[in-house]
Amino acid sequence: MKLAFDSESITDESTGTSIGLRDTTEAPTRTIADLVQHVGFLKNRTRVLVADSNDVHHSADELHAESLDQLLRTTTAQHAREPLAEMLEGLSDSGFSWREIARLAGVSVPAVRKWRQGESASGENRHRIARVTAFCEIVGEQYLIDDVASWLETPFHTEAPVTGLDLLTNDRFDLAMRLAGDDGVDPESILEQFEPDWRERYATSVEVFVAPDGQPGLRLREGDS
Amino acid sequence: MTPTGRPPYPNAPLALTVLEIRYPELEEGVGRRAQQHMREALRGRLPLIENIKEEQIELAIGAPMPASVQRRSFPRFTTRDRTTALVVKEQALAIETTEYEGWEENFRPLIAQVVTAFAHISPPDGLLRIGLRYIDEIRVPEIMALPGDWRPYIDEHLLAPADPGFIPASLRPTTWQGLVQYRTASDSTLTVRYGPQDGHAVNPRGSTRRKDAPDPGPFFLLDSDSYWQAGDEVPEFDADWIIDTCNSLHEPTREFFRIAATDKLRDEVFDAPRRHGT
Repeated sequence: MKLAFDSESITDESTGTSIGLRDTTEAPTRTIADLVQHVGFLKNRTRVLVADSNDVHHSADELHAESLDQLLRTTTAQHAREPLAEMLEGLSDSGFSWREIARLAGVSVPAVRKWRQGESASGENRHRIARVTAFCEIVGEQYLIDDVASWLETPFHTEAPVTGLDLLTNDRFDLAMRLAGDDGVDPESILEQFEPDWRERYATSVEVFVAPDGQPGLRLREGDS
Repeated sequence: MTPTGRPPYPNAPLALTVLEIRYPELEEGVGRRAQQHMREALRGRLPLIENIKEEQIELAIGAPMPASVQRRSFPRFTTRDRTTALVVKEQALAIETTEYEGWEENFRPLIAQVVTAFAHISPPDGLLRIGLRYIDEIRVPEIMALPGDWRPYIDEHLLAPADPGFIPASLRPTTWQGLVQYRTASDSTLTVRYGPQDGHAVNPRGSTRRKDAPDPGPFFLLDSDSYWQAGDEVPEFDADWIIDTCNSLHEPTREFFRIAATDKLRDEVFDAPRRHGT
């Protein structure tokens, strides 16, 4: 029997308070209709709350990403005022090779050499170097990554040879920033966004196995042999 | 409600009586074999059985997951006129009736029959809560609109929020509701919700049939919920103990009803010939 009222049968909503007011009365004895609906309701409500919480988490993630993007832009603008040679030396001191710096800037190694010797760069290239410098500074300070260069050279997923450097080279600073954030982000989701076809692209028919003598070996995966 | 020892009022205000017993979840649920045995044991009182199918739909908002649906079924036993029903689920059973014919005469024997059968057929691991609830819709023909003057019918102590001798004329009550909890024993409580309401407290079109439901209109709600709750220890599911506890829970509800209803209400309304809904 479904009651036409609930325990708070005066129906207008109460004036809200800044603190939660506890209902001091116990949940009443349930009718059959209450009993039939109660369990499903509770589980559904829990599910919705979890989903809401995920939504909030997702929104917070987006907000965080936007903040970082803004921080990257601001810091980049600050570094762009510095002499180019000074930014290049800074990257080199951080552990980047000249080849990696050239790759990040999208130019050749000789072009970088000329910049170091005082030759001017285009505004776009100067901006690229400033952005990489800003990125390294932010992840070093915000996420306490000591050796940013080495971290960027390391593949972030065991099944694909993709590195943070690849992300930066392809202008996906946002993904690299999320990866650096270490807030529970799944590297595979970063990879999915960066290269949706990564599974096919990096699929291998060879796998590592431990032989009876205890030594590692290579063999074709089942189905490929 | 009917005080013990006298026949039901011809115009009783009781709309619904419920007994709910909660217990630790039955490991195997209420299986088909248990349902059959329950059916045999209750055939004399609750001859009809139907399976209630419950579908629980899980939706995850904002997540790329399909909705999942879980289906479960549990038995509902009823009288032939469907005014009394029993539902047995994994974590609780409830007996309810809209045709209350007395505590000792009818409802307690029904409880005894149900819990004895259940304890024998599919005993839960213990007892968590026993609640006995009476929901009265007290309707007086003279009161046609809310909040109404209930002073001749309901004890004035319960009407204080609307008492013109107490409340200044500048505060005109429109609707109000009282809620009080009384400790009735070390582990038992009586919760009473009361006050003028409109319409029905108990849905006249619910699955447990309400014969001759009154027309909607103003009524005084008296919702007495007397319950025992397990403390640190969970007692065994013992039928005799449950029946004794139900007796103890019944007493405070009867007492509160006795002090709430005036003699005028009993004589002129409850004892008046039965009024039927139109």
